[in-house]
Amino acid sequence: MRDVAIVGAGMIPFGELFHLGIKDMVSNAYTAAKSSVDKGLEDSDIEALWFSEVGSVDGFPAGVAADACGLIDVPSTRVENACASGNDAIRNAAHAVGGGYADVVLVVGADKVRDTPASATFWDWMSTNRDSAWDMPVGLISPASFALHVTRWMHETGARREHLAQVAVKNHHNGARNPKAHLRFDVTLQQVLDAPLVAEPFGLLDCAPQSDGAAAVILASKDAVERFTDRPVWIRGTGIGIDRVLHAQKPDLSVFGATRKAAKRAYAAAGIGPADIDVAEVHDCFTGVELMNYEDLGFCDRGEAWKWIEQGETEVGGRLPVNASGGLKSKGHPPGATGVAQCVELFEQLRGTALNQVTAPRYGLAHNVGGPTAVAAVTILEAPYGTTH
Amino acid sequence: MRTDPQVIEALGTYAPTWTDAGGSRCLGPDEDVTTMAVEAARAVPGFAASAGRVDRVVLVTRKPDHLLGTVAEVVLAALGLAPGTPFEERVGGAPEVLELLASAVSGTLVLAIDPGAPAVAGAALMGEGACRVELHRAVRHSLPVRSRAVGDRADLVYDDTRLLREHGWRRALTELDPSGAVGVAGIPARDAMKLVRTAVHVSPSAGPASAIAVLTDMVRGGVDGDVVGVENGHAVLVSVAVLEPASAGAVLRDPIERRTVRPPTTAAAIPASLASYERAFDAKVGFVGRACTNGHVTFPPRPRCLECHDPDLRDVPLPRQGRVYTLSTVRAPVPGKDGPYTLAVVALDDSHVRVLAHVTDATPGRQSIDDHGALVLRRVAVRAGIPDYGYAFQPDLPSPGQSALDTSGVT
Repeated sequence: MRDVAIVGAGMIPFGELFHLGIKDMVSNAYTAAKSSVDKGLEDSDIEALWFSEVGSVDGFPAGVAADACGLIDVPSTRVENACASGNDAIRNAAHAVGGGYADVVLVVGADKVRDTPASATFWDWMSTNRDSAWDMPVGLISPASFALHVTRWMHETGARREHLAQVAVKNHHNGARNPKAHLRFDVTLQQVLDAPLVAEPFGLLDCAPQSDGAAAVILASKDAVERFTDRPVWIRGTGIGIDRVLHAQKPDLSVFGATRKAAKRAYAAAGIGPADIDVAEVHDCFTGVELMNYEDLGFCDRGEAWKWIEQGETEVGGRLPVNASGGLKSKGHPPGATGVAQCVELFEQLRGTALNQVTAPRYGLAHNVGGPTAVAAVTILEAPYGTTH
Repeated sequence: MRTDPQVIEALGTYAPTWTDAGGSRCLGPDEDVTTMAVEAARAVPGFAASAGRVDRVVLVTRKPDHLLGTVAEVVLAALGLAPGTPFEERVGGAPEVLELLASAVSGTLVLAIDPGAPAVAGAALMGEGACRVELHRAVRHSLPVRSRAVGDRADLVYDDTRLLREHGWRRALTELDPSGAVGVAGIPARDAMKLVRTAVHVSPSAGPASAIAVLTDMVRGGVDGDVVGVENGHAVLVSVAVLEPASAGAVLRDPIERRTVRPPTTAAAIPASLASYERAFDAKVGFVGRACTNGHVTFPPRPRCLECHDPDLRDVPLPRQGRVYTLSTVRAPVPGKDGPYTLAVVALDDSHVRVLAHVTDATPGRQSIDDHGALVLRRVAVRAGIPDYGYAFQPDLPSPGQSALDTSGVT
């Protein structure tokens, strides 16, 4: 397997983008990624395209993406793996490049959540990852699906709602400085605790917003990298994990089994462990999930996550900054785009060009968990050679 | 017009937990005629052991939910009765039920439902045991003071209550000449006790279930006597001889006032796949898991065992009690669902099986991890207009000494 690097990465601002269709967003994200390539990149350099989209507004995703980017002369594949779609598209593209099937490829992630009216799409989106006979009738909405895990985890570790709220405060503070973020405002702990309840223990401000958006990264093999940049960000490890799709059949709801499996595979591929990670973008669809991620990704020991947030370990400037971009909570969560956008942030962090810059990171980790909490993806990236920790 | 007396083996009544603002028992948001029928049968002492002898079911109500649907399939599956059991859905009132109880043969399960308000359901299994019912006389006059055309949402009531009381009820009772009747069914309790001075056993409801409610009351009290069943101008007189007081049961939980936070949105909002519904039906409504040759039990059913992937599986009934493992209360509005509602993952007693169920018969949001309760049949959702039945978690009532009454049930 050859080494693979990210040579360009870009995203559009996330938000309620009624003025942009899926094709506009995809094209704009590709343009943003192209313009980040230090030595420039032509459309003719791209040899294949992977498109991460969970929905399918305007139909046939692989074609929509290729057509919008003006890349209809190369293979195009749509990847869908619930909220892990973006990092899984990167994983598949990296395997193709690493295995020698292509030298330079494009990965785009996008979703239009706000194209159809709210209540009409409610059950349509849910049905993409719920059992028709066993989950849909009881009304297992996404916040409840994650809340079942977080409630059990809080019961076993002693974490409280205040700890969840601190995640929202941290991520909103980070996102307020991010021009690409959907929600660019600070929140106070009290505001988070007082917000109307959605699915206990989550209130409105514990939940990521519904966002439209797109992000793109350009991958190159080791030999091709120097055509594009002298400061590539290396993909050192990728991993996917799968869990049982029905909550009642998962053995332990105080963890995300899928995250643990994905992380184990990615760390093994990279030959490093959690203590080596300097900056991370993790899946905070709901605040409590970020805290569980600290434990499932091995950043801290079991039961210690609430201490970490209390002690500010994951602030920018802390022991392991998490979600310097604002996370899903503040930056937004178009499901297909999220994983790719995390890698866009890490690309900038590892090259020292991020807006909310972490001090000289060497290894970055991107993580998603989703579906009926049954899939997770982890990507581990390394800073350009010569960068010291 | 005497008939050979028939014997009821066991009987029972069920009333919902919920009450309206006036204090009358009313259906919970997840209850209907079908779920009430199942609860009534389960209220019959010894039903689980006797179910094998049921070879005919007659369900009587004045307010069916569906004229065409799947009531029989759900009731039979939920009670573990053979799917081929003859099942008759009758429109009728208290007099019809008394006639039925006096004529139905051993092995017949009679289910009578008054959806309310007040709501009550009754069940009687014919056989050997609880009491003997003998029909003596019946009278009929056409006096439809209360009527309802198919498609009407509410009863049409002729505006002369004295006509009903004097020319309907009182005349029929006089013609029946029920000297010393101790039970009156079909007439609201207060009126019943004024019209029949000797009446002691009455029912809050006035539909077919009131007949079983009155008989249940008499059997539990060990009281023999005559019972009249009345509806408009139709009245029936039976005599009841109690044989075994322990064969009658009544399920009545502490009441919770049902207060709707927001009206339910359109029931068509949730899409349905009827094929998917049908495949899941037996396991979902029968509450049946699958056991592999190594003894592992999996639920919902899967093609291979959850633990060892053994594909050789057979059906096994699941325990119907369990403890909350985790839970969450949904407070945001969800199209097509009454809210708020609490979802729980429940670990079944003496089993590795857990089930995902909504919480019923309790105020949402007041439950905790490790609470114990029962799994009971409820209407879980209505999808594309079709009711979807499954099991809900009914928390045990607090033991004496704890606060027993929860009088502020926000649903």
